[in-house]
Amino acid sequence: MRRFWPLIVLALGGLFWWGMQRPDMNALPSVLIGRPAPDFTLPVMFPYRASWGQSFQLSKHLGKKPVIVNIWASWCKPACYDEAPHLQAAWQEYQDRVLFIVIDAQEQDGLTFIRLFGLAFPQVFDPLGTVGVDYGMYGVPETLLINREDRVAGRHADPLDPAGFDKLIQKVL
Amino acid sequence: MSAGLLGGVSLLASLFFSVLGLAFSGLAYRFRDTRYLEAAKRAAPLVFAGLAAAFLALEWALITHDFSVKYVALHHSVKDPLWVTLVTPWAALEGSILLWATLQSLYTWLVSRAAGKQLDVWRAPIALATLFGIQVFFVSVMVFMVNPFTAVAQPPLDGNGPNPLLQNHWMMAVHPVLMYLGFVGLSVPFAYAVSSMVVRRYQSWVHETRFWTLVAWGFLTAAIFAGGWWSYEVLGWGGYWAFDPVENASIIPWFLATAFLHTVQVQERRGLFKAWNFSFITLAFAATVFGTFLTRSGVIQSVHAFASGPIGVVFLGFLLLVLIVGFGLLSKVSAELKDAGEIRFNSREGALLGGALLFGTFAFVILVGTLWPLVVEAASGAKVSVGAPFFFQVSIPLGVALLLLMGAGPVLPWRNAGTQVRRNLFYMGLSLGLGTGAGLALGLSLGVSLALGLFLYNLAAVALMFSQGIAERGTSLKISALQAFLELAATNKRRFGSHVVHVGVALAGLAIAVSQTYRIESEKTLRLSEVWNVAGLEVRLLPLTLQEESNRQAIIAPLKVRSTSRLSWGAGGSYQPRLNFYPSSRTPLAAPHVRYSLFNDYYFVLQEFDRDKGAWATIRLIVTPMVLWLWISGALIALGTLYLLLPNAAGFKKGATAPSA
Repeated sequence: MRRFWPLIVLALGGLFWWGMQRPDMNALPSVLIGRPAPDFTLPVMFPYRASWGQSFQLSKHLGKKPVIVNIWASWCKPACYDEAPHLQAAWQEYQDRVLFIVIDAQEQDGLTFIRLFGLAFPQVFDPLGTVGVDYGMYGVPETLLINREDRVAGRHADPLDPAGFDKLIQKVL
Repeated sequence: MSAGLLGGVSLLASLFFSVLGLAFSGLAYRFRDTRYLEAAKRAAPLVFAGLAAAFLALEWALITHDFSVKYVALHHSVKDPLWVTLVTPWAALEGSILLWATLQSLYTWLVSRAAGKQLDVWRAPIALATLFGIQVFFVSVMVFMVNPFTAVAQPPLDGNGPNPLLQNHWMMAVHPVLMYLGFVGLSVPFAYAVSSMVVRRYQSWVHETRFWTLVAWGFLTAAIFAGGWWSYEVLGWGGYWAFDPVENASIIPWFLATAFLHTVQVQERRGLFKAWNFSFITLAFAATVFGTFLTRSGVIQSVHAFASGPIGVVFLGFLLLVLIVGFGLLSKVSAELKDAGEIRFNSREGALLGGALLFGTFAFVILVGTLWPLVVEAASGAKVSVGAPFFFQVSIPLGVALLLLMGAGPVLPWRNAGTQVRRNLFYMGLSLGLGTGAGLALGLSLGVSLALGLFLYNLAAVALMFSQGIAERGTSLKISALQAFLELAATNKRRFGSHVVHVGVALAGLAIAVSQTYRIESEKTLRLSEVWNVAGLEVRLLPLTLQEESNRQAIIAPLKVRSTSRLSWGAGGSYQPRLNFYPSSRTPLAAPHVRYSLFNDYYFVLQEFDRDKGAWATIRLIVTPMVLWLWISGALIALGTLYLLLPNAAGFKKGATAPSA
């Protein structure tokens, strides 16, 4: 035992270190990856109606450029609040090449959140949570990536940081 | 001065004094100069004062709704009731580390008062350096990584409040504090052990730390029972233990500390098992850090987990450091720790070692079960889960073996077993056989019959020891049996306290076996006024009501229950299971209505209801026998531990003059 304890400590340390370095501990396999993205039509939040109309239908925007669908909730603290500035930054960087669409459950709470973070990309709301069901959502925030071929290309069930957004978006650029 | 500023400054001050305390302790050891030791001792209350001020500043920020503090903005709401506000400091990562550090500094201060007196000047610098080192770690984590006083640039007008699960039952005010008191308390015997190994004085620390270990063990035990009770009352599944990774992480240090409490008696009495004791206390303290690492690293998914972040890496480093220090020192001095005496299997020390090994095995298999999914994922990439069935399978034989040894151990004398002991063991074996046989004759399952037999076996052990002690004292001093009992109880509190703890554990074993075996569960969707005949009850649903409370809305499904069988006597009356809706949570939380009785618990949960017209509700009924006895056994163990601690105040002082080996 006298000789072996350093090995045991080292093995435990290595195991835990590896456990923490897993790229995405919350990664859940999605049957949707590689399949056509389910369509949805949702009401657009008030500040974005001038540019995007009363409602947003996903299928009308597919095929032109890749789409990031981010699902969040204003009650989801701190994860969604941590992610919001990075989402805004990713939009600023990729807005010409990628369409961003963000879905919240409630319009009123969502508007407060938008005012707080000054989010500039289109936002829609989904009071019944049907998109979450169609996409087999795990929890908020969750980000889905749809490629130019209208297929789901990636999924991340956790707040993304700038590097995470880059890595995800680079898959389809 | 704002609460945030006061808290931030207090944290910096406590970090400064912790580093100072660590430096002075190091200098005291290096130069063998008691003036440095005195200086280190003076730093300890200052660190405590700083951290207590920071803790109170956080409470102040919460009470005054100071949303400029990020922690308050994220975990507090103006709508929270006062008790929820007061317990919010341990509702999230930053505040829980602050609570941990504050309790750690309290223990360090109390230990520092013994330095130079009971804790001699050779070992005191190292023991204090260890405790200050632990403190430097926790305060640094707060100052540099998860500061509870980080400011918000644009404070919101209101926040979301803490996790709804924490608001759903008052037990949340108690369970985490007890757990931290237990976890942190184990740092004291660990610090004494480190100092004893550095200075190479291997005997006296076991007397001196007995009080601290028992305090920590008592808090840990109380915390585990409180957590079980919270789970039973809040989570709505009618159970009290699920072998969740973090529940496991709380029971592993408990098993190791229990093992230590048993082997330490052999060292106190006969000077044996020195290496075992150093190993057990190092492992027990490391296990507390492991539990903290699990909850804060996200390495394993659990309902208890806080948000994961970079803090996991530093806790991993700290865990490895504790193991390296403990086992590094032990391997350095192990040649000097060889046991000189003989140990017979059928003696008290044999039973104590056997018990400790069983506790150690228990801790090991639970650790393996907890880490197995991670090991498999590392080896093959597959995601597996190890569920409750595995843990139950390994727990049953180990539990039975422990209950057997628990009865026999105290009956066996030190060194050798004599004729009277054999007679006692015969009577105990008879109780075991009769209890098990009676259970089987009554049609109980084998497991429950065995649990009944083991309970009677342990009761018989305690009764035999009491009666023989009373008879001997009564005859020799010519006093009545009652007087002999009272005198024995007053003069030998250590023995009597441990008997009470053992009876509590045996009762817990029986309560767990019965409640796990004879549980009835049924569910039905009832329309208003519809009658449901179930488990000897007639259940009628009354109109649903909506209750507005400051921090939540509740839907209550009042039930009128009539008992229709002799077995369910006492279960009649009205029940009000409810669903609580918190603004920060999409899914409502069920608050079961439980009626406890000495036989069965009747546990009604509102599962779902008609959201349009309130015309129906889905009700779940869980009838579990003997759960109340589990909580009674927890109270017995706590009382027994308190009783054990009473003479320790005197024993603690006596230990000051004990020669060190």
